[in-house]
Amino acid sequence: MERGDLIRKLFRGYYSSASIEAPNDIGRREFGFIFIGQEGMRRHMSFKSVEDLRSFMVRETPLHAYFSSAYYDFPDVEDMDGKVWRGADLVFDIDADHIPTPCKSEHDSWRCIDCGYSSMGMAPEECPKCSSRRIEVDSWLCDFCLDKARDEVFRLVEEFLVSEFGFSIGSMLIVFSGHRGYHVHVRDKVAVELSLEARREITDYIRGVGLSLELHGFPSKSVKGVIPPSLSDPGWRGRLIRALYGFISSASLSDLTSMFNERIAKLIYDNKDEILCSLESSPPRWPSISGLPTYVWSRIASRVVSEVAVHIDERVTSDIKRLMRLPSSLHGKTGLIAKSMSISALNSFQPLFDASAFGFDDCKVHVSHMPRICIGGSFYGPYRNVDVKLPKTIAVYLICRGSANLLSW
Amino acid sequence: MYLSREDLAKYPFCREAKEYISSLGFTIDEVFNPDFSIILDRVFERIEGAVRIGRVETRLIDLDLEILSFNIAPIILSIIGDNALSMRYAVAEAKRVYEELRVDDDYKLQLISVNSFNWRVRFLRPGAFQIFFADFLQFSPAFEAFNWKLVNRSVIGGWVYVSRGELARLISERVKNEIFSKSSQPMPSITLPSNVMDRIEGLRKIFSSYRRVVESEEVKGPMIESAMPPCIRSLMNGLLKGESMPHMARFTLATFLLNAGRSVDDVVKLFTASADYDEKMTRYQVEHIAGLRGSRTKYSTPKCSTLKTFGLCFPDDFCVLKKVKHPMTYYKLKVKSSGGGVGKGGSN
Ligand code: SF4
Ligand SMILES: [Zn+2]
Ligand SMILES: [Zn+2]
Repeated sequence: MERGDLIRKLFRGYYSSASIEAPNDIGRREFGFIFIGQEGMRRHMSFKSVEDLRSFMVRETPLHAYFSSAYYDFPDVEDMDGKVWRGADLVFDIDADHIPTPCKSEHDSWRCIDCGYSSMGMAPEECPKCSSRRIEVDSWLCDFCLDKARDEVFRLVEEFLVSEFGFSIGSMLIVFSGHRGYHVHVRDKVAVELSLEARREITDYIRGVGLSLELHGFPSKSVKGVIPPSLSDPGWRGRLIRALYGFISSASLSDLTSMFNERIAKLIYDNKDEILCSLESSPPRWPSISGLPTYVWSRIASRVVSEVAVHIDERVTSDIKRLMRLPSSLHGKTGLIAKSMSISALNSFQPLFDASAFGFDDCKVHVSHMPRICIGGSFYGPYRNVDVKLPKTIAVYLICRGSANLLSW
Repeated sequence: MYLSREDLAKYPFCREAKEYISSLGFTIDEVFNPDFSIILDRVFERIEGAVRIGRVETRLIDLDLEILSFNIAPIILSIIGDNALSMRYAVAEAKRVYEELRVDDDYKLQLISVNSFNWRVRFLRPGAFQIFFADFLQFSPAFEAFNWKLVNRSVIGGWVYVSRGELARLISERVKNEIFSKSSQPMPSITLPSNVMDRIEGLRKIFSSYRRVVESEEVKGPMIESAMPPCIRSLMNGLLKGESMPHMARFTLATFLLNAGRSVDDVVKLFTASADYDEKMTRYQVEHIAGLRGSRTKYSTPKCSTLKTFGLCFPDDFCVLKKVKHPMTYYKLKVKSSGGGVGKGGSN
């Protein structure tokens, strides 16, 4: 059987018995689909009920299914202005592709489309050789990467959305994307009414973009009269000083020499206790260590920003007409279910098992290429042009991403 | 705690003032009735003040007159139908409101925010408030300074700390937007008495001569407009239309113009003439960017990749074809290919 036909058959099998989850207010959402063997997306569609949507999914069997974060008066009008926008869920996309993880250098690779240069690891924004931004990424499912993404979801939800922005847990839906990350949908009225500009500001807040260390109490010239942030401060102030505290308490001498000259690094290292004590004291004070320049504090703070910010995809959150993957649909690149859950279920969520649509009986495939990956607690690969027996969910994943052919089901 | 009649005269945009007007049962036709010409006098005085010196004065002699004239001015402006004029007026009124509120009692700021705009605002202690983040974000993105970015604010449980001055700024920005949007609504055509038509004509003349000053100063200098990259051109257009620009946009435009050989004076004039930028602040910032102050580094224009991430890049064919990575490169290449001479001192 041809690959496209095979995938269609597999997906149809899933949809004919799956229960499809309709987004709230289904009649005001735009839907879009990508089909096997067809160019582009068929969008500007709408459904009156979940039943209509379900029978469409069974009949047409799309490879990817999306719905709008936005609510429209006329979701099926093709002209975007004619749809009449009436608000949109506040959505976040956390994808392992945007989070640096050490294991990427073992399983991911990228290639510059323009000059052909390629390398293992996380893809750069632009090609280091020719500066082209057209970069093709070959990324893989990976337990460690997904765990990292999950950690970021927890921080996003608990630290940022709940304690700082005041959203309630009940207004949020967490969705495993079916591939390398998670989506968070906030459906509270306040969130739905936010303007594009407001969403950009929220995006910058969460990513720590445009952060001024000085405005958060990190002096640039003299510490005289500048009260340092306290470890219990809320918001970015507290987050930064806690991260700085953590960095100093665990820093090795070589961590410090990678940032400062030897004399300063040694000064910090030898005075760790004094530094940590004075930050802990109440009210906190900047330690007075002779010979230690003021800029060390903001330099350390600026280094830890990216560790305590959340790596959300800024284009998703600041787009008020974004199409998001439909929960309960299959991801066409993996065959995994885009599974929705509450935040309390996220802790015990296991992407491979909980999002599996095809079970774990063995089947036989010919694998053209696959690095060694760890998923669902087991290692698979590396494989290159071999016939292997694999659990069906893994086999479908490889077939969907074009790395394997089915030999026997 | 409530707003007095005098407060309504200072802040005639608030709900209580509007209710007061409707209780008077005033109609549009009456505005043009000669018996009420005193009101129209004050309306024109407000707008003229805005045009000539960029300010409107608060006058607390006839309170009704203040309340009415403020609310009628947008009607006159929408009849004139010149957006640049409407913006200039809206900016001047907003400035007036800001200056009043900044030194007024805390409870008034809170009353106005809550009752007139439905903002969620809590009084914390003298001079300090908390505003709900969604309300804060309605207008803060338009402000250029770094301390207006949400990421540089303390945000807890959805509440953002603001000082009285900052709350006053948010209120005045709201007022500016309301005046402008009312003034740019198309008017049902009404036949105006000829004396009113004459006054409108007069106002148009004053404004156009004022505008000619700004524009004639623009064409001077060595800048070759046709060589400007699309990103800069769009910033320029926004500025001339009087749109408020976020920090990054202003910074980009200022650095570009300075690096393309425009003088500090030119750039300051361009900013202050077109929108609500305070001359002193703007001069300070532009001089800083030009390296005349502070660290003495002359700033360069951000790269294309930076502009892209800020959503300020609108590449045209030339950008793509030449793989332009810096707006300055675009400009230099374009100038070269068009054969024009460019450089400090210029070609005029
Ligand atoms: S590519 Fe560069 S020069 Fe062209 S519009 Fe974008 S930022 Fe401007
Ligand atoms: Zn390349
Ligand atoms: Zn990994």
